[in-house]
Amino acid sequence: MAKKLRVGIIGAVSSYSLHYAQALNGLPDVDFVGMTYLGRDPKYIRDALNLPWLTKYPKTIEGYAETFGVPVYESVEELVEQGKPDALCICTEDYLREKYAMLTVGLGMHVFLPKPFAKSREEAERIFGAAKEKGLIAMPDLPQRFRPLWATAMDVVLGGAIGRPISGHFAMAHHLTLGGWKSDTSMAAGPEIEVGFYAFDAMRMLMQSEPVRVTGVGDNLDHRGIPYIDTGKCLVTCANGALASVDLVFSMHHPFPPARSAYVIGDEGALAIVGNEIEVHTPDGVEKRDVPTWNHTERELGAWLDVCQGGGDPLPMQEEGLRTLDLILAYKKSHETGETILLGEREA
Amino acid sequence: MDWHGHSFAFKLRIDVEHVEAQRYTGDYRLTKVAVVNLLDLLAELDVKLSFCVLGITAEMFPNLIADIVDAGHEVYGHGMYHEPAFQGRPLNEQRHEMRRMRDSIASACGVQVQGIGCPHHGMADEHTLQAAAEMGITYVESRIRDTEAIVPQWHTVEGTDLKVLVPGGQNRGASDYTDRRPFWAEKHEEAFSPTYARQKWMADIDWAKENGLMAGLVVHPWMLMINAGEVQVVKDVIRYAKDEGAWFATVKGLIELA
Repeated sequence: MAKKLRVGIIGAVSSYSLHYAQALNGLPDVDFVGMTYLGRDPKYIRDALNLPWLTKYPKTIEGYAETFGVPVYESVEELVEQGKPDALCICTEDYLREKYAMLTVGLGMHVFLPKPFAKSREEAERIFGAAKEKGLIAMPDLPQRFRPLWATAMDVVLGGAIGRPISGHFAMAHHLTLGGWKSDTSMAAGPEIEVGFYAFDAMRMLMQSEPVRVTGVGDNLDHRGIPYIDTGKCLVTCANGALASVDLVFSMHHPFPPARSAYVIGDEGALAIVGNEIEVHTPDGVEKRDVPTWNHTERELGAWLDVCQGGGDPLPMQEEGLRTLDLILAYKKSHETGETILLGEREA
Repeated sequence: MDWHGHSFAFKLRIDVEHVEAQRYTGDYRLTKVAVVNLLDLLAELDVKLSFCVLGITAEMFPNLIADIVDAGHEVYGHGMYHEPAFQGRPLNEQRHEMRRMRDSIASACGVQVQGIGCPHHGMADEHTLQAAAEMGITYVESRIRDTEAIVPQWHTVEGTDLKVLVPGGQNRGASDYTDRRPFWAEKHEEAFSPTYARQKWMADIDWAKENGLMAGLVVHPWMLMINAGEVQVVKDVIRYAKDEGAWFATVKGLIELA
């Protein structure tokens, strides 16, 4: 039986500071040993966590310690000295993730990077390369791959139920995440990268062919004065000629569930995701696929920790992360420059 | 005139608008820093003011707007985007902007605004008044005033049965200014002079006291970061108004006087 891994969290100012704490406490072979808040001011922490989907979570370090039953430390050094972790999750502001990932690897620990795990391929490769050199595991977060809905949809496509995907559409509705450090463009990666790891990674998962040609548009149509786009559209040509479109919808102020949806048309059928349901259309009729229930965060962190325990190779997931990052950055560059971006095919 | 138990009033309005900081200084973040510093200063002076908040700033810095309310100050609207001015635009555009402003501020701090201070030195028209009334906004601070009145008066919106309160025109007001925006809102602005501003703004307070009226002053937090000496002037003026016995006017208080 593998020994329990001791895992800590760096940073108290991300949703992941909370979600990962909850997940780590739910994993059987993990000792969650604590969190360092990096000396952030209590108000800074509260403002960073004052988000609509975090209402049930604590907003203070005292509340954090009580809720998750772990010590909180002012510095990384204290966390490392007293918590003696084997691995750390980096839940800082976006712009500090590379710094603390490199520190973690430098101290000889495995590292998990929530999305957006990097703002450039070079940044990600520096982290992955440093970890590889030391025989450590650096894992990027690709949440859709562990969500029951999208994992089931991918099984449908991989199982051949709809044949070869030839056309797909992937729409992601998400509000602009603002408040605290998220309102500072020098600290936050921005909505394309933040939400792109949902929409563009889902596209890559279900189209099953790498993007080679990317044309994007993006604008701020109803949030003028906020230095981010609130509406984005992207057309992608895949290596096998299949076509896909991605919609980024950050402009809604009212409920509009159909804005979060996807379909994939194959040469033998089609798959549609509406809300939390999957429909598979074939010549035999329409079938609803059951979507199982599991905690995707526990599953994703568990997968990382299995690899840390020697149960696999981090390179495939790192490569998937890099390819999705390439696609997101191609979209961003395209909408910023008005040019179509060509992506070379890379060997896994 | 009884100004809530005081013989005269001073309305110090703080315009919270990060887009103007971006436009004239290149850094929208100045607004946040300046407002936080100003809240500290106002706590020290023990005075509660009226903050005129742009809707898009409430979306950009929701915590900041909640902090203003938590500190006991009043929040009301300043439009949604600041650009362009309300005046001359179609009703449906003004209605959209008014709704977005109202909802953004409510979402940031839980306050349903009762008033709007129209941007661009109050450039507005009847459509502005109608859009405000339709959104449940009672008090519209703009260039549309009741020239004979001291306190706000009900104004029937042209062609409708809707009514809003407009300011009394017997009072006087001023604004801070900067040479960073020399031809803004149809006015030419010179470099900020602490000496002249102190004299002028205190003279307005003296005038209000002598006549039992209200003096107004609009302060832009981002200007506090670029106008050398303005912080001290604002501090001195607040102390002066307090010492002279002014009622620090709020939108809520003005509505009650109508």
